[in-house]
Amino acid sequence: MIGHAQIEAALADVYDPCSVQANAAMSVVDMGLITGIRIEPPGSVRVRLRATSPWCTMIGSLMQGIEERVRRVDGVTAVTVEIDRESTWSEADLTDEGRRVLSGARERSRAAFPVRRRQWQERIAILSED
Amino acid sequence: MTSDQLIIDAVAHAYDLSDANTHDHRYAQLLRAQLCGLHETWQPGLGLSAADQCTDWPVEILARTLFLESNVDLAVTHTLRLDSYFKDGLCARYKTVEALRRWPQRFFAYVGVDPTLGLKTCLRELHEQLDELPQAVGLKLYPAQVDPLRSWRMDDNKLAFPLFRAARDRGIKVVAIHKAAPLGPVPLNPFRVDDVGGAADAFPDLSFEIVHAGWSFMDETLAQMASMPNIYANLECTSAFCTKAPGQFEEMMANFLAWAGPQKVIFSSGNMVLHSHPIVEKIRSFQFKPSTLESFGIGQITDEDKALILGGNFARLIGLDVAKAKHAIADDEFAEERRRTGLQEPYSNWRRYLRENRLGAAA
Repeated sequence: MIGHAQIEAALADVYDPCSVQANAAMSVVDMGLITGIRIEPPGSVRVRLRATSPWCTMIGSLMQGIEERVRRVDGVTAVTVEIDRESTWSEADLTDEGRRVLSGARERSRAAFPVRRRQWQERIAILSED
Repeated sequence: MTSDQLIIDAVAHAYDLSDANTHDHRYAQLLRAQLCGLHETWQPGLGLSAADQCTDWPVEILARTLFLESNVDLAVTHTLRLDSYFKDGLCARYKTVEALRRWPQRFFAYVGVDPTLGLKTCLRELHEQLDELPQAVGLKLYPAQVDPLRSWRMDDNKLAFPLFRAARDRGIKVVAIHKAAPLGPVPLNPFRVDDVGGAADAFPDLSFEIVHAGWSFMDETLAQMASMPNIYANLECTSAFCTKAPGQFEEMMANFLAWAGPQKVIFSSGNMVLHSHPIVEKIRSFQFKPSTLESFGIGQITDEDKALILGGNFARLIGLDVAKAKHAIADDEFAEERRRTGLQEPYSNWRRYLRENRLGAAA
């Protein structure tokens, strides 16, 4: 019998490509993109996946990655990945681990490029003094 | 906020999504599907079917949808140059001209060129379009084209800068660059925002709108808006988060107001892909939750902030005489029909046009 934990562990190996590009690499699980897992004995698995936005151009690649990885779980004979169009993603859907990864990446980014809130107003003030 | 506030929808288009106008390749077909999906699912219950959307949208229907079905007073229409996706670029030059010639009191125009065609072509087309529409206030650009994939950068001093210089010298005040929302299954890099800062720094007398700001690359967008006096968030489509994903909208607005301030955010809907009315009304009544104020360390949004976002900022960017603009629309054909019929139902004019195949006021 295949367990949910085995499928979740497999999904934790599938990384969201945009988070990788943004230097905050996280799995589709930590991104909060998985909205359902259904196991139908003996070996059929259905995974529901949502995109971060309707403009997502990586959804095909994500589906392919999930299908390939889940198919490698012992006992799995068929994998179906469905797009969940009903639910909307936001940062609130990140797991605790996902939030930790993202906030770390943001801190590094801000440290590398120090910008203050509404800094443009200081710049205008300097220009108007010239 | 008061009801006499001038509301300007800073992006509105009459697309041609017909089969005849859409290129056969997968980029164009998927982009069209994305736009239809946005229309159908982001304002549930309002939109038309994909089949009805995949038609040529008349400018008159755009005008009626904006000014009879919502509280929008003025709108900005762009000539679009997505030539590699749609044969007429998606919103053809003649439609911008029609909007400005028929309703000069209601519309502002942005001309459009495609920098991937090279500087010489861009300059020729820019001058041609500005000879035709000297009252145009903006220049609309896309960062990439497809089939073959190609892109350019806003901080390219050999291509972009001579174009911006020519536009500025002809009286253009705003450069709007589509960013943050990739157009179909294409590489993401051209849709990042890191190149806008270089352009804004080199042209302090132009204003730069990041169109679809907030859709993605949020941190980079905030850094650019916080540091540059002349970079603005244009909320085309992202404004619809307020109806589709209110939590996400609240977070996005908290970020914009914290890092950039209310002076840097410009409302637009993208009408007719999305309807202006529910967005305008949501923004008018919008308040941050106490937990958001605490989390972002900001004060509550005020009526003055909303007035800036819904029209005041755009009016300031183009030097609009607001009293004169209000006077010009007070008794025009839309004001008169609106007084007669009241606010019309969302997309009722478009539906009637598709059903009866005729333009003009309802009988």
